[in-house]
Amino acid sequence: MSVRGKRVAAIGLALVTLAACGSNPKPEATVTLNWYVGPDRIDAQALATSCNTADYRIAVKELPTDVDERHQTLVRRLVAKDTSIDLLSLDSAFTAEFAEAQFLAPVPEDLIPEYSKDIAPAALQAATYEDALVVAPWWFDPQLLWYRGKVAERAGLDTTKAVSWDALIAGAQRLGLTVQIDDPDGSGLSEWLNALIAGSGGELIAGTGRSAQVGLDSDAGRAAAGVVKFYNDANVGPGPSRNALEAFAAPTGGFLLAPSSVISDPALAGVAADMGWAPYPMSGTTSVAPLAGIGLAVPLYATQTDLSYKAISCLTGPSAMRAIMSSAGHSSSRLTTYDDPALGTTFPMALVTKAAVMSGRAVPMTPHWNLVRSAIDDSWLPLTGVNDDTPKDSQRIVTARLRGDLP
Amino acid sequence: MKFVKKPAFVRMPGSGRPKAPTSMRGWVWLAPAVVVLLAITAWPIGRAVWLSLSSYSLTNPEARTSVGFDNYVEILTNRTWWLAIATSLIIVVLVVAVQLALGFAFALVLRRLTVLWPVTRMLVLLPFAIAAIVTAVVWRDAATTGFLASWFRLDSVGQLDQLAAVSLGEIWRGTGIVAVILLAGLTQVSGRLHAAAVADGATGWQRLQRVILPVMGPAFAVAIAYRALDAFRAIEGPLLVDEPGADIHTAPQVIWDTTFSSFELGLGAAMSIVLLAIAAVLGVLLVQLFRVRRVV
Repeated sequence: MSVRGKRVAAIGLALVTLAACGSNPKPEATVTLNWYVGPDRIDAQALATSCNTADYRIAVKELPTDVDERHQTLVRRLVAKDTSIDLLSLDSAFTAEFAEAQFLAPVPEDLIPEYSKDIAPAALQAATYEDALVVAPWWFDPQLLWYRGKVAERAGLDTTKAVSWDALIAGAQRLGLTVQIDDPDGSGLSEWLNALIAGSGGELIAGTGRSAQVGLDSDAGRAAAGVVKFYNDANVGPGPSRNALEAFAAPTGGFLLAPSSVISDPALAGVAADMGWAPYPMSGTTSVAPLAGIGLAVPLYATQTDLSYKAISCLTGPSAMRAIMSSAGHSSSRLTTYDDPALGTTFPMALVTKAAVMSGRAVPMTPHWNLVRSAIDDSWLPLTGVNDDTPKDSQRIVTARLRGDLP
Repeated sequence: MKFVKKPAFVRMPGSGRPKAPTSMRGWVWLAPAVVVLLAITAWPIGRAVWLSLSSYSLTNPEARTSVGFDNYVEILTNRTWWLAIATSLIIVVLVVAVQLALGFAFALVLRRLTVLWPVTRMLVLLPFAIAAIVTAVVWRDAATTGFLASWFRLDSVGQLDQLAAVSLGEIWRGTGIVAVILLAGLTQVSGRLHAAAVADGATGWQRLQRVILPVMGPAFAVAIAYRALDAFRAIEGPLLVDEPGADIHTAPQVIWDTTFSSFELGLGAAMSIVLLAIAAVLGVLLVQLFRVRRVV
């Protein structure tokens, strides 16, 4: 063999060897499922680890905290048919929009009974679009009235039942304490108004289309504005705020409107042992707490749909549901979790929370909720500007945005 | 060496200029550039025009409907839009006026620099090398927690104050490039012309008014048109200082919100076409206003 021939043979041998390396029989690799989570208080990594199997491993990725940024990020990625999202912790407020946009993979028929079983009606409604279950209900937190020590008693409030907004604000003002409203992601004002209007017998948005009825310029809307104005004039707090927890933990902190999970927030670690809770205040004659939660979804262009649903079945299983209640303070969408004996005393707010989930109000299931939310923010903020004309002005702006017009 | 005349050009009878053969006509040479230009400008603009004639939400593509010129009617009759345009124009006028005044002052000083000029040239242009968004963040922070807040003892800095701060940042960023453009114009004023004006007894003010500024016309036209259009389309600063419930919005910001926050693509496209038309009119007006008036 010539020198050249030897070289060619050597190169050929090397290539064959490399090819052989590449085709070595190996055990099938574990699939990585990317789970995108929002700003909740769950130790998602621990939960993911507990659900990992030989088939898949869940990698937790974080979505932006701000609701606008989170919405934009998800829409852009899902419109672009991003295949790297296998699992999604989807805000209940986005569910209708994403279902309408056909961003979500259909929930397999055989899993629907499992995912819908014993789910709180409001949580099930928030997971359903056009009569079809589009996400697996996960947790659904009602807001509660939290207070420190004996301030409620000193303010003359009977915390065994829902107090009125007027009594709460007047009591806090008398004591020189604040009433903070937790709003970690910027969706707090619209959730607050939605609940205030529902509490006064109204409906913020009726219908799902672009010509849906807006209920701001109504008796209930004006009653809601009255509460906001009274709160504002009493100077007991800044309204929905990202710094509410720090302000509540400060010496002048007295009351806090926040979801059940706030109890596990590190910002309240110093005062958590001294915190009490009561039903959400009444704007009318009943307590209607703002409800908001997360459903687990699989994007339409996810590549491992079967495994994603296996993971969801684990994450919505009894053990995981118990964990998110006992360690994170989130309220399970599945009502039977409340009765789980293993929950023990780890979720002491159960009685109040369960009642609030049943009587509270989530934001309307319209695909255009994000437009409504931003229009409400634009027309009600800053809260210092809220007056008798605000509901009417806001009605005009929200209606225009809903129609796809400029306000 | 003997040069061989190439047969590519043939001299036509009665003509002093060679004529290119058919295969070498100018458009052939221009074609690639034209194609690229069309691809990067006309195609997206055309798509935007097409998009602007429909009602189209990114999250509800199936509900897309053709609406003709409804989006344009909606925009042109909308108060919010015209307020945003007015806000943008006010910012443009203020920013460009200050940039011109400062830039011209710098140019007058820089003309006298000789030894330090290479270093100064870099220093003057340095702000322009910084990304607009970085400038906006720095100047916003200056007003909220930084030197502006401490110098002027600013307690509560609202959106308007922050908008003023990022506009100051835009002035800071663009003054250097304006100074360099005006300096180029200033060098067009020949020493002979200047000496003649002095000999005629013109005062300093008269020399500036009657000799320097007219000769610098083209430089002013370039500087004003460039900076005005740049300030008109500026999005970084206004977007950075935006907050829910803010009353003041610039036109590009309204387009951004409509397109990328509300995902109303049809309306957003129509707004961007209207903004483009306004920018084109603005550009033509500015060029006409400051067009070269030859004095020599």
